[in-house]
Amino acid sequence: MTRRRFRKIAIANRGEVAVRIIHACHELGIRAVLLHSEADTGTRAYRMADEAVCVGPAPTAESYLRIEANVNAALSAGADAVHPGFGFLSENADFAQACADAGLTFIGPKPATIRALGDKIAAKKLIQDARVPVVPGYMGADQSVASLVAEAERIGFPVIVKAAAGGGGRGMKVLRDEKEAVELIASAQREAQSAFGSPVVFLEKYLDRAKHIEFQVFGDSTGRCTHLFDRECSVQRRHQKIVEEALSPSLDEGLRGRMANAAVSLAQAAGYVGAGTVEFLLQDGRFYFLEMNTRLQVEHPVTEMVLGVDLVKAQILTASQEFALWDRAELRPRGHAIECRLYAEDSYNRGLPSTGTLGGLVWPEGPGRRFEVGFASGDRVTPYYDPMIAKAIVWDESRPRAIKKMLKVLEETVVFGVKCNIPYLRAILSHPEFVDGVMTTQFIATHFPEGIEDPGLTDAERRFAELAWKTAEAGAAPVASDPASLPWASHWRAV
Amino acid sequence: MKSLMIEIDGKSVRGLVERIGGALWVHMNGRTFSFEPPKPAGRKGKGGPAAHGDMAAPMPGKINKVAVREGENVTVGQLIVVMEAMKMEYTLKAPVAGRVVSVRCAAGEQVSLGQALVKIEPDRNGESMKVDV
Repeated sequence: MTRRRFRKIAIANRGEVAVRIIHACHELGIRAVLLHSEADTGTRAYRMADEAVCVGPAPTAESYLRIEANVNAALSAGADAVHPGFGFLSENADFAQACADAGLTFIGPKPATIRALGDKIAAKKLIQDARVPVVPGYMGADQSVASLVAEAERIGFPVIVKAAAGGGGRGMKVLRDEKEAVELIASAQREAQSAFGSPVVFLEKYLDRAKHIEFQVFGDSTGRCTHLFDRECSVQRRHQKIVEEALSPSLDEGLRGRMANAAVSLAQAAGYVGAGTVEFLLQDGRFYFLEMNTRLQVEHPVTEMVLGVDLVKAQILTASQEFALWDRAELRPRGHAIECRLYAEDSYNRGLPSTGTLGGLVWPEGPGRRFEVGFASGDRVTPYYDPMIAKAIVWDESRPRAIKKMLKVLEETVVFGVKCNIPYLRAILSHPEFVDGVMTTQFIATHFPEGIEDPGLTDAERRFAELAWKTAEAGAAPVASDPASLPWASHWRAV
Repeated sequence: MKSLMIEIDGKSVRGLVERIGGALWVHMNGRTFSFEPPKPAGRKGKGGPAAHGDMAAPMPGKINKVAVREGENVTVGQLIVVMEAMKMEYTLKAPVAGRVVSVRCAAGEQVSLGQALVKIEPDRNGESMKVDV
């Protein structure tokens, strides 16, 4: 194969991952074209990209999920390659094929690989052939609600229903009995249709005290595959990850080795090229294949932090045939990394999404702190997309230190204008089960089923706010000039 | 956003503040909150949860399904509306048993926060529950 250095890459995505990819492009001397919806012109990625092409209106089905619009936009901009990021079309084999047909390099595995692995039903068959343990379930073609309910009864409740074409928690529901199964299966099919354009779902036995452990795998352009160790993402709400870390605190060397071997053999068998993730559930010392994500993960930064690698640049250079795998001896994890997803939602009101215009933002930089941010002050958080504003990632020499650092970061981070889940994240990171590293995927449902309680304002907070409000009302006049009526000193400073 | 130092009980307290709309956003001592000064007396707010059968959108989003029709009798916890926001589905269940007296939304419609969706006239002796979203 010949090398074909890219001059311009089209990014079929939005938010903080688009920013991440733009950084990688610019560092490699490649121009970045953002393919965006009408609703996303007020975002950092839009302002950072060298060019931007609108692919449709705000709803994802009319923009980010439209294969033809994205391919045509990439062509019109003269791009050599397309980076799909995660979510949206990133695991859509038809999109990868359409890019190839149009002469665009799709930055990811081959369409056939995505088809075989990205579809969770096909992936399970493949991994069963490779003798990696799977959770009992149903992955048949009969998708009628009645048949699915009957299959759920056969497997035995609790049973989880998942989108075959999906990931990221969308379209996933836990069925606890026959009564609620009917409505929840129909709901999962609708969510799957809305999020991924296909209503096909599958069922599997729901493990009720499992840990979510995943392995980062990578295949280079010569056909070799390797792994970049593991991440633990057991802290999930409604199957959406909230806090992720590398490495997992739950694996000893032997178990880690066995799981890594399983992950690599699956990638190798599938002829995997680029970055992918093999997800497992771990319960009572046994691991089960969950799914393989044929794309970059939201939580890829924690792997980058403990290994000192750049997965996005490696993806791009793999696609342009310029990258051979890292020297295995150089892949030595060091210290511990944690990522928190900062969502626009109300910690004190069961995590209800919060939308609106962002006010002031502070991302407290410091040693071992990294922020992946999709918005700036003045941008709008709209109801059309995932409510993630940013990701905060920390690295430190040990897990306890990394937890302490993250708690500091969460204290010092400021998000004004929309509610943010920072209080929720602080409660999670302070919980003894998380601190001890023994949390399971039931952690949130067990300890924070209703989110957290609003502690209200302390006396000092209320008094501070009242006095600050009066100052603001007075138009920031030199209030100290009237010490009789305002017995406190103040000064304003623009930040 | 401004940095502000205020002396409270002889101690200097530093915070970041920004006025957005009718609220003051404050970050101090590692916590962010928004503060709304008490409204002048005599003005009534939107009213509390007195009308138990009034179901409003708990967030901005899209209506995916309306599971009831006007005139229908419903039981507590019965599925009334399915809505979607930020790619997640939320189910709104009947907070009271009673009769649906009006349906003010339809599948496919975008609704704003607090928009009235369905009104249920509670049974005289009906039970009620906390709405599960």
